[in-house]
Amino acid sequence: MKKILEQELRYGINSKIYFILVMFLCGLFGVILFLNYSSVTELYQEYEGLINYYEKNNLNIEEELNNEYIVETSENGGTIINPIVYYNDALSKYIYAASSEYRLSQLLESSVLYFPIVFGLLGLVISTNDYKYRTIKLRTVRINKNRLGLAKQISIAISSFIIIVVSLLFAYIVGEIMYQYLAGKIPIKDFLIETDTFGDRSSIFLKFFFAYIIALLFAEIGYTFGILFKNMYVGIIIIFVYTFIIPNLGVYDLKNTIFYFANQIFDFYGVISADVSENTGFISSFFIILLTFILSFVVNNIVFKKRSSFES
Amino acid sequence: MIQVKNFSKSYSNQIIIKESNFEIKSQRISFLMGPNGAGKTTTIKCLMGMENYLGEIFFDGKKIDQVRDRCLVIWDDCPFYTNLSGFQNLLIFGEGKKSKNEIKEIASKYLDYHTIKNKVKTYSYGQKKKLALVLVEILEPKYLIMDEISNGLDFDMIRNLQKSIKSWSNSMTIILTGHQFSFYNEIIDDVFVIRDKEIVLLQENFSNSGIMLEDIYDEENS
Repeated sequence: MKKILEQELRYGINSKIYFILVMFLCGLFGVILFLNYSSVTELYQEYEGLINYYEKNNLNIEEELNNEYIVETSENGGTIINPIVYYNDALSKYIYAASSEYRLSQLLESSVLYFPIVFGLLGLVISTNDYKYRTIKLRTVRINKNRLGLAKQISIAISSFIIIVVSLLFAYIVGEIMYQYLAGKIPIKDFLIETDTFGDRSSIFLKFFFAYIIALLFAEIGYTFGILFKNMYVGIIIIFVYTFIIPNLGVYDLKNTIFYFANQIFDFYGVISADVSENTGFISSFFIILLTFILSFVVNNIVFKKRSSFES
Repeated sequence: MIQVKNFSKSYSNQIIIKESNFEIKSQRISFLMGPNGAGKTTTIKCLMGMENYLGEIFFDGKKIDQVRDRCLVIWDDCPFYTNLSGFQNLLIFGEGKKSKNEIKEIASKYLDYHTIKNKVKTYSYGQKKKLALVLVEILEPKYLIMDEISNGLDFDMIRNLQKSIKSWSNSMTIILTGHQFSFYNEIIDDVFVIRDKEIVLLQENFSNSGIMLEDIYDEENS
């Protein structure tokens, strides 16, 4: 098994699949960091405008800041009563999301959006490469098909972990540079709220673990689609349509279970948010995810074993 | 020795190989002869357990899954990862059996340094064959099967390959198939033919018999 795993990992490194996916994921993380950065700068402009207005009209800013704000929505939009507090709170929240205390959490929150595509793609590439290059008939002479299939899936699990860690590390550093740049433009210290104000629903380890589970789940689904359809394109289109176009189908929808756990684990203080899950609980959500794993594993193993090594 | 008992292969209702019993002796070069579509490649697939078949096949008394890591088949089209260099392919398929320097040294006997560093997609058919031959020397399999190995090779390479195959047979059980009979005439020990869909041993110690494969082929297909 070690020998096959080494082959798989070496292929991933030499073919630059891992490198490309790290870059892709870093780019996607970069979008989150940029959106957060933009939100802070735009909100600060609004906030500054309000301060000017208050000062011009000799309104008491300190007094207003000690009050609550109210958002009233109507058909034509809405009204914010005491907007200076609203903008102050929103700015504090986004600055906190960009800060080193929360940056990693926000990046992990984006796993709900990004990981199905990134790791679905990884699963698809790994499952189809030997059919694409017809090396399957060279490899299955020396390697039992069951062991090859298992090794491919273990290599996906190992490489997914590394891809996530490297991408997070890179994005974290870029995020810190952006934060320092932001600190040069905006008086961040004026808005900093004690970390206690923003509670954490779970530890960073649980957040990472959940993000890793999403990665593994969609890598497994991608791997299975690759085995079933023998090409990458059908699988990636299905995953994309399912993730971004098809709405939440309810209790037994895998997305619904992911939203359920995401809302239990993540805080979503920044620019990411997850839909509210419908009528589900821990047990049913847990079993839906487990069942998807098992079903994918069983299906891809059966099809991989049955399929001739001479099909392309 | 590869022992094949009551072996037959069919696709749906079409019989490819009728019940055959034969033995391929160890450390000898056996040649499987038959026209296109006779079932040579199908037989190789069955020997390697890559297709379902009826009967039993033993490799020195063991089933294929027990000796799989000691087998190697060089397929006619020589599949490699064409998006990687020849050297990267050798590192992957070499399974860590040889060091990088050893691989470079073996590869240099067949391909020049620049070719080895180039991506396989730039290789000619013959260069891919040579890369596959490097793999034989790296993996040193106990059971080696080569399908149409001489196709696409230049004259010098053919002469060298004849010597290599002869020397490999000191430690390997080799099965060859092909149609370029002049290449095989001088090196093979035993000849098997697919006659009326049955695999039979036609001639032992062939290279000493003075018979030519071309004559056997004409006789079998007349």
